[in-house]
Amino acid sequence: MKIALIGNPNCGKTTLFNKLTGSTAHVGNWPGVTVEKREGVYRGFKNKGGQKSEKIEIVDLPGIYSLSPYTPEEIVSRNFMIDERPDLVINIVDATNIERNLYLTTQVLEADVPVLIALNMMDEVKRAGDNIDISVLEAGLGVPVVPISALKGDGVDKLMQRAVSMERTREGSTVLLSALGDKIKPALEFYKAAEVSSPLFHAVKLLENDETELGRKGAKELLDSISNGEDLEAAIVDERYKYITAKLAVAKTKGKKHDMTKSDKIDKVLTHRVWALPIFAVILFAIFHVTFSEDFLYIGAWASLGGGLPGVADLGLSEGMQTFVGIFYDGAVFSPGVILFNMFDTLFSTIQEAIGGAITTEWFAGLFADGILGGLFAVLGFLPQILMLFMWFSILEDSGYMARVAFVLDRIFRRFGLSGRSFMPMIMGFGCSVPAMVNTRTLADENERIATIRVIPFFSCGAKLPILTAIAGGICSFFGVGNADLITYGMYALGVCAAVICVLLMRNTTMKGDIPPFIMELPAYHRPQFKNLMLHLWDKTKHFVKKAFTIIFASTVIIWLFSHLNWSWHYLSDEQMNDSILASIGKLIQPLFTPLGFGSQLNQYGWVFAVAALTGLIAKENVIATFGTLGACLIALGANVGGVTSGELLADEEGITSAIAMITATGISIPALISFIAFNMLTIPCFAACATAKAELRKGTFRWTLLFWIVASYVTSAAVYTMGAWWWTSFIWIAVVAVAVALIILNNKGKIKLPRRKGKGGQAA
Amino acid sequence: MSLSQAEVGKSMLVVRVSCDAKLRKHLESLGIMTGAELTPLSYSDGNMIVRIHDSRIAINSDVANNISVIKRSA
Repeated sequence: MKIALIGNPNCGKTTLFNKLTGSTAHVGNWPGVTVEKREGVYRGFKNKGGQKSEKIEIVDLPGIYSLSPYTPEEIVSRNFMIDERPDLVINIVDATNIERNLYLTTQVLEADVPVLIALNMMDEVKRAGDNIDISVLEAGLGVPVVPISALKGDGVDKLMQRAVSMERTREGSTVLLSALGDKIKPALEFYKAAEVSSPLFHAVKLLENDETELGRKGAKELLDSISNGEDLEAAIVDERYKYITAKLAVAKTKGKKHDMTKSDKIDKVLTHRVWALPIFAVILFAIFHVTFSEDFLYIGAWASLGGGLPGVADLGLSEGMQTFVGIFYDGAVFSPGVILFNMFDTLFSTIQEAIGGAITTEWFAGLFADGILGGLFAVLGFLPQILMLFMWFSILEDSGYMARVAFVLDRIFRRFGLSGRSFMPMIMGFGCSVPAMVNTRTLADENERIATIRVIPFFSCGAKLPILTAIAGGICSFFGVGNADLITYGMYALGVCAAVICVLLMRNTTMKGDIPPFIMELPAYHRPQFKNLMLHLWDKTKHFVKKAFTIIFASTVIIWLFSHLNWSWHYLSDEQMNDSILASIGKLIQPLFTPLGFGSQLNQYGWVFAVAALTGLIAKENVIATFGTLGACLIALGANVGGVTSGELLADEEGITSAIAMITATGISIPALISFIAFNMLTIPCFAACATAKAELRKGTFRWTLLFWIVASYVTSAAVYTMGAWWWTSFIWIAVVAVAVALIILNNKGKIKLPRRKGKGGQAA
Repeated sequence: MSLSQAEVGKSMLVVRVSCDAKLRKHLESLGIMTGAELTPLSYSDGNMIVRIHDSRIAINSDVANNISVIKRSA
């Protein structure tokens, strides 16, 4: 038996789906979280009585407001219901807003499928002092109605008992019969004669001027003869709402009058005309500060105005105590994110040290301790920070705040050629590009969608976070300059700026198009669900760990092998790394990166950066994993790497120490390191993201997208490097940008004619 | 008057929605159509939030400009 869940966006379909199937699908408090249909198996009847019951498949569909689709993901829901003909449709109706939700119901009833109504959020209706008379609804709709609370699980068992005992066939019915029956009848005859399924549904849709129906042979002529110039579409909408108001909405009785809800009061502040943006900026800064800062609340900076706080080495503690205290404090108090990072890191280095010491065979100790563990731990150490960043965004999302931010940002986004809608996929990009790209299906304009997909990787995902923090940390400890968190924030900001500029450029050149109107339902605020949050984090952890022990594990083994074998397959010791297969490949591509600062100008070990960037194409974590593996070898070389010794690599922050080793061995400069981060952030994303982009983009645009990523990252990094290394080159860059902007403006105004190429990838400046 | 000029907190009656068919259908499915009642909740630079039935809908200024409303007689 196959049951489809259908309903308005954000009415609790996915919550019910999770409850029924035991899955942990992503639930968020904004319309449009689910953009793909999702299947699962009902797990409820298994334990009861032991008798074998029928397997019940549950299909969760994207939320829709009506069966006349507006955005691409809504088409999925309509097609599934009409063409795949599930055995039962459970229509979830948000009881706190029945008028609007029942509008969809009146359309669902027109299809030839059995329908069961799940009246969700009944607990909230009761809490507000209201009541809904189920029998009135059942009489008006002609199908059973079961009150539930998907979140708490109330009534869910009853819903499913009702579901399995229902008739498996039902003929479509319509609430329009009394008012428009004579108009519907000829259309119904037409579809019955054509022997299509759900003829009533199609007949009504034809009268509603539905594009897909008008494509049928003879349909247009028929509609013209029936309508006779009358606006049937308006009449149908009107009748639906009239029926709802007269026969259905009367089921709801309001206890007391509520003028201002709690959500309205919060909105007064958070969507304030003036304060909304500053509030969002502060929240964003607070999130990054708590996750990355090595000077929490700037306690250290405040103290240095006076005498300053002592470093951990000056406290006169025993060695063990020093390591322990060093997790939390070193001249400044660390932020919770950094503290967690340090804890993980201390744990991993202890494990690595113990294992490395226990193995006596040289090559095996090298492969295992340096290659595999060095690579894996360099990445795994960042898991706490990745999770923490993800957690803050989940909390904001679950509370309902993100939908408001989309609204507030809409007027700014419009200046760059996007609607506020595209904010949701972009902010998701800070977690992972893959779901973010899929979520662009909620965007109504195709060109806006392409532009958004292309810049999503610029919103640095969790996998790129280690690159930022490790290299930023490396720069600070090695050169003794700046502040690691500032570099990290700066790189996030650079990604966002690059996205803004690229969108502006695309929307004015190759991806022109109207900015679709912004219309978004704002959900009620609610306290983030602890369980929901933990499930999110657990999913993320599982995904990360799985990736670490498959793709990243395999990559580190391969990297280590290729860096310890020469072309005649002989084992090389760490000292001979420069003769390895990997080195010769690295040296081959190295010159490509010369304009970016990490190419031929580096010394004999400079190829390691080229190799790291290349491995990032598989998974971005690989960049730092490669640092870990190759860094261990470089440290073993001893002489070239200055202060860092092998012991230190094992005992200190893994990723950062590897970065220091790479810096020492190659003689790379600060601008080149920043350029390296920028390049990895903006260039072609990992395999998974590329595959998703290819699937989501219209045919033929993917290769231009690849080119776009290469050009955008190359130009940005070159600009960062040259301006950082020679300040006066800024003038050249400004001049180039000015000329490009002038050309585009003149071209768009029709003053000059630039050669046009179809589907050009667009360039970044 | 256009919806973008309506007063915050006052119940309004929609008299006309002028836009293309696709958008009109979408607005209808949200309950915004001729004859519907709605209440502006807040404005920010022409973009606004309205309450209709029991939901809050955020719309941008272009959409608001194309919705004509009159004050609902009590």
